[in-house]
Amino acid sequence: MSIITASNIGKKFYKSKYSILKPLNFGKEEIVAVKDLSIKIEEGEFVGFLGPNGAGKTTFLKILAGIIHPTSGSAKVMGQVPWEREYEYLSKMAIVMGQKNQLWWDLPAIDSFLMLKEIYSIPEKRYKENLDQIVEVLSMQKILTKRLRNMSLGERMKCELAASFLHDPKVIFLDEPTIGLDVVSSQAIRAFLKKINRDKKCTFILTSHYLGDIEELCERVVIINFGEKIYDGPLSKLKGKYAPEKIVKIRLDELEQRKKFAALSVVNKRIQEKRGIIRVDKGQIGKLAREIFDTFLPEDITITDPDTEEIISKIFNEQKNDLR
Amino acid sequence: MGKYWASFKTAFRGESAYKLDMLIAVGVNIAFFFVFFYVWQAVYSNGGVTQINAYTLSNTITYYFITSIIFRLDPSAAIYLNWEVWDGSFTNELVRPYSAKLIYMVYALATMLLQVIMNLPFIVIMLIFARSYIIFPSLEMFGFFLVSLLLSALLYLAINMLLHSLSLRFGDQDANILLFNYIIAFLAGGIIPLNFLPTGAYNFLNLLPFKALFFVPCNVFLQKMATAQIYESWLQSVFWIAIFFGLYYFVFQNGLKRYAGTGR
Amino acid sequence: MKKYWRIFKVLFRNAIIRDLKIRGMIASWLLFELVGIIVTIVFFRAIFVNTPSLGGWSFYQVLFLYVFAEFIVQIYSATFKVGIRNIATNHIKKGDLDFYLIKPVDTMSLVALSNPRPYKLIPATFYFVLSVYCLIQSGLSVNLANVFWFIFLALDGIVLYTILIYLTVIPAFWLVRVWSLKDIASRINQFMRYPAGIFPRSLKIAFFIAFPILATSYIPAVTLFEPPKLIYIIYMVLVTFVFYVLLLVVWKLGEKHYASASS
Repeated sequence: MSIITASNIGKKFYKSKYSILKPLNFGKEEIVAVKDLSIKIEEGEFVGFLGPNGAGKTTFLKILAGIIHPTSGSAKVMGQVPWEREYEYLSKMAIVMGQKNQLWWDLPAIDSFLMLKEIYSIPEKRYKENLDQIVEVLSMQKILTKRLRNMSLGERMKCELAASFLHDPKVIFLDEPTIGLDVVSSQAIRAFLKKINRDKKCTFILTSHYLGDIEELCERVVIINFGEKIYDGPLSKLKGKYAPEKIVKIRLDELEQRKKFAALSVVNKRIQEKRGIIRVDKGQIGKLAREIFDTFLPEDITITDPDTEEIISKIFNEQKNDLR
Repeated sequence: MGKYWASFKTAFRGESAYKLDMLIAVGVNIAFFFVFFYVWQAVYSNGGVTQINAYTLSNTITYYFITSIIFRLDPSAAIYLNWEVWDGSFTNELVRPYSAKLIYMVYALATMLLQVIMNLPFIVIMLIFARSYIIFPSLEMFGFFLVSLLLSALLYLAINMLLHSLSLRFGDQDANILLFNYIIAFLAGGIIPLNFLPTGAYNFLNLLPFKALFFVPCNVFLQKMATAQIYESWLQSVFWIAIFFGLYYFVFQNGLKRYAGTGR
Repeated sequence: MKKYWRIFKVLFRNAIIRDLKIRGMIASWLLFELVGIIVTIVFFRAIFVNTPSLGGWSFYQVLFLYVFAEFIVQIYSATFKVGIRNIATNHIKKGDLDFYLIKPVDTMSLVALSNPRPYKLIPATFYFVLSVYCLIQSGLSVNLANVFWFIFLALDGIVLYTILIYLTVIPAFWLVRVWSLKDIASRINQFMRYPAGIFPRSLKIAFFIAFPILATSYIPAVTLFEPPKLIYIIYMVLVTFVFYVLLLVVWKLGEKHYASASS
């Protein structure tokens, strides 16, 4: 049985049209945040939710976390209806939000952890084991006694993550956990999440605008736009299905090189800032490779898959029917 | 001048985006009027008195009616200087091509004007509720009252601008601003008419500038002041307004030298 | 219960440490309370020069009621005020309530306990001492039964006061942008400072039944000055229970309506 099942989840928000200039206008504007979203997630999966701003990712996440009620549809997480917020459910889930703090602003991190120990009724031995492990993995020894308001963003995020894993949750919702973090901090957090997912078989649902997070952590992605699911499957299949091409980049410092590039038999090519860029179907790459390696120096040639960002942007701009 | 007028309009529009907020904030303060109404009604009836220091029950109710209106002119909630120095957004005003000293007064005046407008329905409610007790002055005295009210608002503003500007030198003044406004309200006759106090206390408080905030406008409305006394009190108000604004200017300038531009 | 007590202990301890770092500001707040009580005494003195009683109560009885009402407010301020007020100012408006909702504890209780202000216990102590002084000066004879029922009803009054103030901020679930809900408490509690006898029947009905703020201080005080009446005790317990149930219902409705402001 899937650990998370959601069927036709819908969420509408209503905005009053009342204004002092139109005092008799009691109408409401309906805003559809999530529309008929269905999903099944198995235990231990690490699923990434992608979508532009306002797509409905965070709203859907909050419905599964039980923070808000859906307008329609049903869902079960670990066999429980999330928005009923049974203590049994809340004790086994966690949510980390990159732009909000759950820890107490004025408390040292360790005191916030102690609070959470009481809230989640974590036995002393398990609390100590989990805390020691998390502190070691995230290198948090020096910041445990610091008050949250005195920490940098990276330190705060580490503490937020640590706080979320103290009670050994089975399902973890991550809403942009690396937002605003530097490269080193982001990498540390990704490594931590991968380790937890591997060791404890927790189920993760991650929303992020940083494709680096998605590419490194998630095998499966769900793309949401305008509140609807437009893709659900492996990230590799997404690239293969939607962008079945390779990109060849050639450094063109000399005029002679540019002339040779112009003479290539490929149609889909252009020059951008002293680099020639060719897009070619995967089936044609062999033939093209022979031609360009005969014409240019190998050290000037790069062959890559299309940028994930580019693919995602393309999807957001296309009709969703192409991907069903 | 144009930039200050634009700032005034923007501040007014900005504050009026929270109309319901302001309506509730103004509305709940009406509780004070009702409480004092019943307290003094009980005092006059239980005590079997018709006058307390030449104030009939109607005089006393009218007095509190006017103080309720003047309290809505309270600029301590309309000035954001202390808060903005504390959270660092004061810096935004320093880098703009206008006088930061003046702009906070402009913002405060915009908010005070909106407070007056929002208070109007509650003035009507108080009037309807206490209609048999409220005494209206003659047209001429009402004119004098409006001038006294304006001077009261300016003096109130000057005092609070000074209190807020202390934050530049001494840090967050939130508690002190509340404390001083409370003390001043008492010294000004906002909580109890000054002539209800013992003679010695009354004579002392009469010497202080604060009576112009509440006691003077109320007594002008109650027609308990002769014209000469009214003119004298106006002169005193103008004098004290100048003193407090002068102090504000001095403290602000001095404080700017110490301002570090840090946020919370 | 033990769990909530342990949570509160951690928060309270840290709040004391925090308060010790802002001694200057706390001194100002304490001075504010002191000035408040001086002004109140002057006010009542000025009143009682002109009348032997107010609502049937003597000077010391009226002053007792005033300081007792302040005692209730200070106990509330020391424990729940900031936490509950944050519902109207931050939690719903900024979506900070999310993290309270996902904890396996009662959300309402956790929010209320989240921000204690221990320094408010100092003026509370002062008001307590002053109320004892007023009781002695009033010359009324007070026996053990009075004291017992007074303590019982005083605790009930604190609970009822908390429930009522909680009810004033819950509309924030629907009126998200309205900050001034937090101010309703401090205005409405003006009524609980004066003897109920001065208010007309309509106001008594409103503030004893529809929104029983008068009951929080007046009923316990009356139980101290007169022989305890069973009807008052039953009334207080019943009204506390009814409003507690109302609070739970409205909170549940609010939770369902909660939209969780975006991060």
